[in-house]
Amino acid sequence: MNTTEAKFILQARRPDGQDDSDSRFAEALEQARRDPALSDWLAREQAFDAAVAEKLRAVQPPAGLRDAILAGARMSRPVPFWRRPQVLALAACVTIVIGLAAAWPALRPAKGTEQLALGVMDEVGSLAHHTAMPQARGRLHTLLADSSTRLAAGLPLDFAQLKADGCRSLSIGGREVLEVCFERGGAFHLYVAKRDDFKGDGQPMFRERGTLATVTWTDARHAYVLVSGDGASALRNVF
Amino acid sequence: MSTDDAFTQLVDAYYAPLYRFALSLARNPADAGDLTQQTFYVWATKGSALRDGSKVKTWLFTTLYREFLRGRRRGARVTALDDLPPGEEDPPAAETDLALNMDAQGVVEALQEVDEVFRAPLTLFYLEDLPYQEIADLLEVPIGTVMSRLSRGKAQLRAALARKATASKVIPFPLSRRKTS
Repeated sequence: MNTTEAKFILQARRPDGQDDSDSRFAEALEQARRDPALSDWLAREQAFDAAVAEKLRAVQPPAGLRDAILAGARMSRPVPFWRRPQVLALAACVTIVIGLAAAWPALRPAKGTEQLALGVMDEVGSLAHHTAMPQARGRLHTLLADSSTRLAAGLPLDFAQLKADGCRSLSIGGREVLEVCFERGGAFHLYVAKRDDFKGDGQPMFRERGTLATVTWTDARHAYVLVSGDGASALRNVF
Repeated sequence: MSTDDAFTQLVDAYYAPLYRFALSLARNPADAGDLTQQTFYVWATKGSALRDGSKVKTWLFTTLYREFLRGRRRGARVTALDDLPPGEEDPPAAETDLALNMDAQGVVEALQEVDEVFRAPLTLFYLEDLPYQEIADLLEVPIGTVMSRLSRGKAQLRAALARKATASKVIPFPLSRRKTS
């Protein structure tokens, strides 16, 4: 490395010494240690650079620049996608739709118990009914088969439990109705629906269509239709 | 630490050296302030994409430099490096005194007279904030080119300091005496 090359490298050596560990400078620095003239030149160069660096560091940003940067950047910061108006509007719409869907069973207008009774009669008269007649099970079966039980006195039923027990489910007027069949000197079919799905005044209503007879009534939680193929008199013995 | 706190710390750490770099490039305080602010604006909108936290300082300086170049008319910056005059060989001892005796404003003004292509590496050199490799990356040139531009930039800076020192020594002609003669 000749002196010109050494000067080319050493003129780029920062006054704070941060470049001394850089191998590019090591050889040139070593040469400066051996060459007094180069060493003097380097000392002058470093003094000049240190003076300029010190002056440059003395320059202060204008008052207010920091605050302007902070305020401006906060205003300019991108809104997270989940806080953008379009996304918020979409989320609100989805929430409303989900809310409406969840609340729909309570919001939709209830059907009348008459529609329930007629629907049940259609169901019992259909072929599908005769191919699937699940019997009540357990305590409910015992209760319904007991000749002393009067259904009008109230039944310890729970719609969700009936459904969980595997009672046949059918739809009447778009509402879910569960079927419980039992024997008490003849075949009976009890249909249970949620009270909110079918309006009724609570008074028992008997209907007959041929030999098919029904009685419809409600309590606080459920609407019921009891069906017999043996006429209204058979119903009255149970109801 | 909240996002706001982190951003405030970032500004406090770097806005002054960034402003000094911007001042040397833009040549006036208003534009330098705008450039500095614009740099942090870009950080606020795009900085989260930077994965390596150790690169924040280089990222800010690079962004400022690119914003400066973007703000200038295309073509104006391109200097024919081959036509540039060679750098001075040896600095006279007196030039150190020139820099020492001049106030910061005078030195910055001299720095602003240096051709732009040399001014950016020269300022980054004096700010002592970035290693050479990062300066080279920032300017998108090899380290050898950075050193070459540094050499020529220093030569121009010395010349500018000398001109300013000479100008400050000129004694204005007293107008009142002229009127009476």
